[in-house]
Amino acid sequence: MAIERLAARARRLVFPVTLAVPVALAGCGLPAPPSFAPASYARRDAGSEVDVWAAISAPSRRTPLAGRPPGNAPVPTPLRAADAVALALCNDRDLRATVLELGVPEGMLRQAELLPNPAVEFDLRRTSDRAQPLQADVRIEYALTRALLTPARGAVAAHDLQAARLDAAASVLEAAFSATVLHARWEAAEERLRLARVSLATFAAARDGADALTQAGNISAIPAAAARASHEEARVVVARRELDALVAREALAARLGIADPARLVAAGPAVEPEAPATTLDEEKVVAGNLRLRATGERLVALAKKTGLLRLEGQTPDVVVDGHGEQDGLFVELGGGARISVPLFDRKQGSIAATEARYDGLAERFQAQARRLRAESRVVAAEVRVTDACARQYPTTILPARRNVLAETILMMNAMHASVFDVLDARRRLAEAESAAVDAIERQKIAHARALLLGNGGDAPLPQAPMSPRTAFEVPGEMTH
Amino acid sequence: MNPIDRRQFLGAGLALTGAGVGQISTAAAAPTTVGAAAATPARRGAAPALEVPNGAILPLTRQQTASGTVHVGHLVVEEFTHTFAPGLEARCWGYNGRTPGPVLALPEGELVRLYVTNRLPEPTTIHWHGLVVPNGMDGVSGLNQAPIPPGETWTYTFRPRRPGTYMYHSHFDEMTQMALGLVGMLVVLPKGPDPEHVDRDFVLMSHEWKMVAGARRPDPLAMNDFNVLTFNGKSYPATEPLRVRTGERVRIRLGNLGPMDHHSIHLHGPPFEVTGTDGGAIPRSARFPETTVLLAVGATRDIVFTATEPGDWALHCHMTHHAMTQMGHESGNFIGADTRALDEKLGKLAPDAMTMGQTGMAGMAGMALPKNSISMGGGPGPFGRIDMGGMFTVVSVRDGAETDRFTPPAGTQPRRATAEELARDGIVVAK
Ligand SMILES: [Cu+2]
Repeated sequence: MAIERLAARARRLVFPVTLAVPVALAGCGLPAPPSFAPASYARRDAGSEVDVWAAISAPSRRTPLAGRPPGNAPVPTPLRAADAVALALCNDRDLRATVLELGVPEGMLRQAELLPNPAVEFDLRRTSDRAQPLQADVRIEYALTRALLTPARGAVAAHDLQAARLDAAASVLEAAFSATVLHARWEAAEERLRLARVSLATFAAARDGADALTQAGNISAIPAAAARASHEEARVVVARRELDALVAREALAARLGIADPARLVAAGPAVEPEAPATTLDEEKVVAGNLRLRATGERLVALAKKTGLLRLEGQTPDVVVDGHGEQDGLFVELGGGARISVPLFDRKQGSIAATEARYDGLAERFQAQARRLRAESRVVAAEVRVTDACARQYPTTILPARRNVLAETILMMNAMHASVFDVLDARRRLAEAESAAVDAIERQKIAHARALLLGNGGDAPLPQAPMSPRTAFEVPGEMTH
Repeated sequence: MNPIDRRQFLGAGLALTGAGVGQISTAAAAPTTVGAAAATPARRGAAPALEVPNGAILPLTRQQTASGTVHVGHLVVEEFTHTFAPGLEARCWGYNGRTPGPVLALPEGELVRLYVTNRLPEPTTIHWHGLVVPNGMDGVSGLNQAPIPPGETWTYTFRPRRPGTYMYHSHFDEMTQMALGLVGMLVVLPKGPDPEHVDRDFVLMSHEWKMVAGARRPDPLAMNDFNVLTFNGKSYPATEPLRVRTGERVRIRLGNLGPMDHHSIHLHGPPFEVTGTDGGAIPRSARFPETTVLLAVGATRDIVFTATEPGDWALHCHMTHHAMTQMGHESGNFIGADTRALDEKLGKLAPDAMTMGQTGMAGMAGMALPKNSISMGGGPGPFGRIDMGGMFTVVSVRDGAETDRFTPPAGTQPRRATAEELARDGIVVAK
């Protein structure tokens, strides 16, 4: 039956492996150079990575994540992706809450593993006959069945704790992922703004040229008017780009827990693509997914809890006791047991409820795994395509556009082209550079998703900035 | 070396090269300034050697047959790399590796047999422009003959009847083949003395090409905006000057087989008369003095003048765009424009770019240009840069050696006016 297979699988997924994930915690006092950035695929040198498991393991109050008050980490200038990840992990209060809340299942486990206390009953009796000595009864009771079942209850709680830890580890990765993505978007938005300003400058120069020709009396009014219109249209584009950059900056600052977004300084022209990412192994993605493994742990916990309930329901509740009675000159010693007969309440209801929870969770486990497989295939394709596209710009497209500009300048010198053609070629170069920024942004995000999936994370992209990206091209004729 | 001696010397050279040629020669051409008449003793009034600046004359061999002498020549129609001027070359089509092809100097009244080997990727023919030949030899593909397929060698045989200046060219896919260079001059040398009694006899063929700056093949589809203008396939400064001695009577045989444009060929200095066309000699009574001759497409004009004045006299097409090379027309008219605001922005956007033309176009020389481009042409002269290009050459008249540098005698050049002169002549220059 599927449930048994799932349970078996869940048991295999129990968390014994070292989860060496390159999460940067440099800003939190660890010597690790930031390495969540996808480039660190290839450099997992010792010391540059932090074991997520160690970062979140008990006692949670002493983890690096929890060890430092948020908001105090310095903001590096310029802010690179890895710095952003480090800051996000230091300053993310949700993440800190998640880590602190690991104390709950930890406490539950401790509690579950405690043996029941013995009960002591002490009676003093005196009869109306004062000549009779004082009668004293001592009775010690111990809930034997409950004590015997303590390790089983501990096992259930241990799996619940393991599930919570896996979820927390996933949260660390997801926080790093979302910081990486927001950083890539912000950097790209700043670059797009810079390039839109270059484009605007070409239109401004063309407008100045057309004005000069108009004032000299050399051209009709049309090209000057067209140049003016194109320039104004380009200003609109720049305004939109400014808004895009502002929104992206705010989104990143919020993620990093930085109150003053003006402290964020981008690294500047970044049209170099990242090295191509390694391929994503679908099987490893599914087997290593932290959320899926957490679900597996919960399934094991539920299975064990079902077994525990069944045992509790069918096992007579045995309470053993020993008692001593001093009755005048005699001391009576005795022992006994109280046994409940599981005649009516064999915990059938609790068992059914737990089984239902198990069945439901098993379905979710399946759905989650299936979605992960689809996602890993999609992300692998994204990595392939965005790698190719991002490489295409520096290797082919941008050199060709630069060549067009250089040759157009030569053609202007030869009077076979005008300064307006040169400005047009310069603008086309800026547009290509902007398209390269888009391509590299997509590549970085794809790499971040691949890294997330490859290391056991799984998260949707952070919400996009509210201002939609506009087409870069501005319609308008160049003046001739 | 006086000119007569020189001609004798060069004529002897031809005699040597021609001596052992019993079969058809595929050699490109003989040296520049030799002709069929060169071997005859040079004397005043005898026909002088043809001189082809930058060009060549096709060597002919004589075959004796039962019916008389046959003059045999061989034209190979082919593609090759042609240099219009240093820095500007192109894949052209021509004859024996030249465009225009070597001058055919044919003796009047004698049988001529011309072999034509077609090494083009398409058929071709040759038309003998202006000659009256048997109709089947006239060369119009489809009308007078089937075209010569690629790889084949055909013969044309005819007897030139009338001395004068003619041309030859392809008459198959004319637009393409002529635009790519399949043209040449043809001179029928008189049997007897030359009635014009010239001392020097030059051949100059004009042509025009469309070469986008940076391109390496002329565009045969062009219908206008031809931008490489040539005399004998060269644009100034690659045109060899026509060097003569003071007092010589000079003939220049002009021909035009350019695709579309006529040319106003203007000679500075002495006036000339047009003495003949490809239709024949012009009666003396019909001649008149001229300084410019309109050289129509498909026409030849012989001009004759006496080089009375020493010095360097320009000879060029007077259409201004024909006396510059690879002139572009896309730069926009910036004369009088204040481009400071534009230049400031341009300097940041494209530091290599510089606007020009605010004070005129003369400052454009010397700018970095596309590869294989010599936009606007021009070259160094004795008094600064000569900014002419294209269809421009110099008739260099000297008292002494033809290669002497000419120094204007004192007082025969303009100079800056002195204050005394201005005051003396009452010239007031407004400040
Ligand atoms: Cu002309």
